[in-house]
Amino acid sequence: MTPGSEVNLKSTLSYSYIQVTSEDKLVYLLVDVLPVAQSSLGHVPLNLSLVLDKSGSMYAQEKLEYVKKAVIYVIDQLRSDDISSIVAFADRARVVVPSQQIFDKGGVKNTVQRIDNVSVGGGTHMFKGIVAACDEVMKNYSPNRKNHVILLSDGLTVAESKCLKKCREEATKGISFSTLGVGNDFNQKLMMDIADTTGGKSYYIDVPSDIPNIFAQELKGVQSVVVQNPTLHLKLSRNVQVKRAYKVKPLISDLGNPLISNQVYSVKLSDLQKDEPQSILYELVLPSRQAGSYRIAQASLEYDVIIKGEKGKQTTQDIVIAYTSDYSLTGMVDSYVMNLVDLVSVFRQQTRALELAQIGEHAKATQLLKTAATTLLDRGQKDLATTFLEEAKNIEQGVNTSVAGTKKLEYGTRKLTQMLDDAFLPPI
Amino acid sequence: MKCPVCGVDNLEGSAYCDDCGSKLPAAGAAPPPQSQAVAPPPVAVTPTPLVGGKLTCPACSFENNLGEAFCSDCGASLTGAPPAPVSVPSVQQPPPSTPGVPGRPVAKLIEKKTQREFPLTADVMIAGRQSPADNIFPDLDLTEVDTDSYVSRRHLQIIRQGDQYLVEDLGSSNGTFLNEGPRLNPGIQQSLNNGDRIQLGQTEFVFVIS
Repeated sequence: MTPGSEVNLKSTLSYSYIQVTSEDKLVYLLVDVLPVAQSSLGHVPLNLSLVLDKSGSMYAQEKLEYVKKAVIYVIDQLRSDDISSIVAFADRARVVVPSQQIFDKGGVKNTVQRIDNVSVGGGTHMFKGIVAACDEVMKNYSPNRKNHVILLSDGLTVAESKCLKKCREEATKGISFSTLGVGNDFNQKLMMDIADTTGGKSYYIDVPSDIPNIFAQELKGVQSVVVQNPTLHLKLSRNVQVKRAYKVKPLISDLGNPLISNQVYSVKLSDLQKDEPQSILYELVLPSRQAGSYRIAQASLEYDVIIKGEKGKQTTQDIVIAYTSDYSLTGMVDSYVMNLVDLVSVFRQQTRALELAQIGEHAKATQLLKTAATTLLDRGQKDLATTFLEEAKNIEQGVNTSVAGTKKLEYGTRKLTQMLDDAFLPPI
Repeated sequence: MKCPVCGVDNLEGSAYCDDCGSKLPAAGAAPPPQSQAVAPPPVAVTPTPLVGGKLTCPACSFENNLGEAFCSDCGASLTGAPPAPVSVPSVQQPPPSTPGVPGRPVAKLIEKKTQREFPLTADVMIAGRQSPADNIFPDLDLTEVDTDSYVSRRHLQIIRQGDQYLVEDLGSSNGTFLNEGPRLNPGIQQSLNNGDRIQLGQTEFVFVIS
């Protein structure tokens, strides 16, 4: 760690000592990227676009009314140097508020109140909304801002793959997308994929009255960005491999197969927000070696601090393990890392179970969900465990997995690691 | 390491079975049967050779820049620091015997890390974590040695039948494992022999009868 830097890296191995044997070993490596609290750092000005679903279904359960409340809150919270725009979409997309620094907050709020009059048809064509929002953001695009789109929808859109492709393209230019899915009819996989691959967040809003809270939460996050464009590189020593890697904080997601070249495994993180660490859990395969200390990898974080005009800053840390024949040492495990391993296993079993259920492998899917439910019960996660068991029962009986159940399952599982911070719940 | 539930082979050190997702017994805690034979000789610490302003790795001969603490290729230490503590696995010494009923063998469990002893003084003894709130006070209170709370409140019981001791899992959350074997089925009794290793969650005990 460099003194005075904005970020600390902390790496923890599941086992600091491993047994000298002739076999390959698996160790779990947790790398925490911890933003340093610096009140003096100032804030990154926003270039924000809100994309709002105005399809017919948004009139049910007063969803649109809650959206209006939420948007008015956002307008109130914007700083004088922030830029924002508002887009409404259904069959068509319309720019309701063009990209601008909002000086007349009252006028814009009135426009939002009258959003019902904006005629865009009744279907759900999210792609058109995304295109319009990106055009607005690009009008005032600046690398010195947080260029960000917040996407709200309650329905299944047409042209899903086009939506994801477009967002990913825009992400390479530096725009991030957060997605807010309302109710039970949106495609959570699409919404999660958009957020996960562009550096944004994905939220599930099951009751419309939560819309303003979630908007507030999301806005608070993007307003507290301290470090931008962080990439975590893991340079592996020879014969060390990454078997799998998961983002575990703030939410759990599978990192799939990120770029690996020259033994360097790189993961692009989302912009670091104050008070919100991001953590990656790697499964490393280590070769057999003689007794002694070895550096198995080097973790380094590359990032920009735009407000200070600093680009390509770096902080590096050695990850060292000891091979030994002393069983009193190799029996020691880091319980915090192992707790995360438990939760990731729940996530992995849930993801695999839903995939298996889709291709008709019902017996195995059911078994995975039941095994995961046991771990959840051990952790005191009774509600989520119940959801798992209900889904297992549905699959077992050949009933289609319930839409609401699956959403609760997927969003609930991703949030599991957050409970470790609140109160650690040991097995009962 | 074979998964005790589905039999799939997993890398040593894995916490969960890759295939069926079952929790695997903790790794590295117990010596393999022929432990002493496999212990390799400690690595000889050779001073790191200096070649033309480069540091040559003693393990793989890779030439590193001056100032590197570890080989940039294979990760071996370049500072000539002694390797991590290497000790020959200790043979489980019979612990000093505690006074017991004369003529009657004294059995006990010894916790591995702390070497704390839990004498088996009654014919049936329940081991677990204390929970005053639930009025659970096990005969063998493992609360202090199970710092991570992997042991259940009523985890297992040890039953004495004549000169024979039996262990039975009481439906614990994290299971009981005998000598690194598969998880014991709850409610099924298994006989214990001197020197057997019993694992409860993350805590390991040796059963000693003298």
